[in-house]
Amino acid sequence: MNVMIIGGFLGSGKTTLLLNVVKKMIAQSKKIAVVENEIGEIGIDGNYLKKEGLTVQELFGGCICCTLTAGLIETLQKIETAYHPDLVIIEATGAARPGDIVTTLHDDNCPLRFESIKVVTVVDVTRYEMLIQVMEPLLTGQIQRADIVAVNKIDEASIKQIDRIIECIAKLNPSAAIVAMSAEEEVYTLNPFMELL
Amino acid sequence: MRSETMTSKERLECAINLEKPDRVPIAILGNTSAMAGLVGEKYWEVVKKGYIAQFETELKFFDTYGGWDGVHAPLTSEIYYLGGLKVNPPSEASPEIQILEEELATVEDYEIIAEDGMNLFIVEHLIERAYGKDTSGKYLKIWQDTLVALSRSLKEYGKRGAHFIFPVLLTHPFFKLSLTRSMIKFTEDLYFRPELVEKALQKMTDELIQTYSSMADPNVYLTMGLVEERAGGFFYPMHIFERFWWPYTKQIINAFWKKGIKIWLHLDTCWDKNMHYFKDLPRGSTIIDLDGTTNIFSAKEQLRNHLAISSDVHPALMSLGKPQEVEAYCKKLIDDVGDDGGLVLCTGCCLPVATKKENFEAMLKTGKTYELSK
Repeated sequence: MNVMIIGGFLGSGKTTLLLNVVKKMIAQSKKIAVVENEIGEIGIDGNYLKKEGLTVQELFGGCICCTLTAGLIETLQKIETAYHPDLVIIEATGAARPGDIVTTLHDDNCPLRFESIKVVTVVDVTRYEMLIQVMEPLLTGQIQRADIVAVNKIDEASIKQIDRIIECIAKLNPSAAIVAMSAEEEVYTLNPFMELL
Repeated sequence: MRSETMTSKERLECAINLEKPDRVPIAILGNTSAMAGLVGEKYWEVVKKGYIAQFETELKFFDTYGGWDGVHAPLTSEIYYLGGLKVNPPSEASPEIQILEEELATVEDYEIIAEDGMNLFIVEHLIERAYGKDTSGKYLKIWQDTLVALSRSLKEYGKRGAHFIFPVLLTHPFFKLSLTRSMIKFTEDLYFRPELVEKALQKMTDELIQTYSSMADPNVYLTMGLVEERAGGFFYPMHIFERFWWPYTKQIINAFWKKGIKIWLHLDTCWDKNMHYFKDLPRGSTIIDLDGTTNIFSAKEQLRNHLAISSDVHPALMSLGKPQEVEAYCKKLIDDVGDDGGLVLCTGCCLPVATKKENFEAMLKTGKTYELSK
């Protein structure tokens, strides 16, 4: 199974990015399943995705420690058995660290085997400097295990601000690819995300 | 094998008081959804029958597995209704109770909460915003059922020799504001309008102490439950913890402590960075309840002979592990964390819906027999 985890704090633009990646994958005739796990209102239109031929599973389960272990594995098992997708995209709750999900999936007790697990963390450039002051541990944790950090909402920030934030992120995770984008305005290239797969 | 020499209450009290009981006391925390699954019931069908039916399911669960020492009142979707929190109704596809976090309270509401308190705010605003106007007397009905179930719980579990660890699992003011404002908005508030948040936190702290410290009779209950899922070092840096959580927590714990009540502090996510703060609390005043993500062994070393710990047979182990792994982990907890007492063997966070029957049995069996067979 191939997995892409899209993480990032609440409101950072994970869903918009997910939809764009999904569209591109569908255009390539790939079979995609999406696992939704958000503590807030579901931001994604499950019916829309289903019409597009996707499998959408909502992952509920109370608090994140319970949901992101047994609930996640159970959901992935169901998906694997029923659909054999080319790719499963997990939209992680904004209150979780994607790296913890990777740890769960690599656990010896996890009955599933993965060809690849990639992590994309979306960062809202307009709120980064505020959030890093009040929520530094979560934000840092989300960035440090990412393969790609998508710096989103660049249309709402100055070049100077974007540069400053990209520099901070590069220090936190020197091995990650950093992509500046505006998912909402469709100012981005999906190539880095597709190459990741 | 030696025989037990203590009642459940004595055993729990002994461990909480940092002494060594005849064997480790066992407590199980969980939503009714997980318990229903373990007795072959469909929770989404039980829910439709109301609060009392959910209590009956929990009792059946207790009896089916031969019981344990510490129990609590059912944590059902009705409890979330009383708290003005919106939940996803359990269904076959999603049997767990899930809080649907929305921005139910606004920035302006901080002043109202600071003035009137959270309890009145819930009744006058929050429930209606989450569920619509209560035209059928649902609020009162749930309260009545809750009181009936609590009274029956005390009686039924008492007959079975188990002891109520706490009458209510209270929500910490910080966590409550985060849930009602939504995590994202609340976090912004901590940055942009900290004084408003502090005013509301202080009022809610005073209110919580006033409302519940009289309810907690130390002759009946050993502790009062207090839950916090979001203030730990997993989410927030220490300057936020020190300003918005720790002072209020100390006020609550000290106020209850003066009345002879200990706080069962249910802490979700990783609290490694915060653990040393708890050494400032009065000895024996608090039971630190961890969920499996905090390093319990390091916590023990820091809090040894100062505060009891309950935990942490965690959700991943319960649902994905094997019985022999559960047994080995429980033994390690008993040997390393309970070596000098001060341990309640408990679920890490809550019993997950996907708990394997044989894993749950392994936990109970190890807790009940390991030390007595030594």
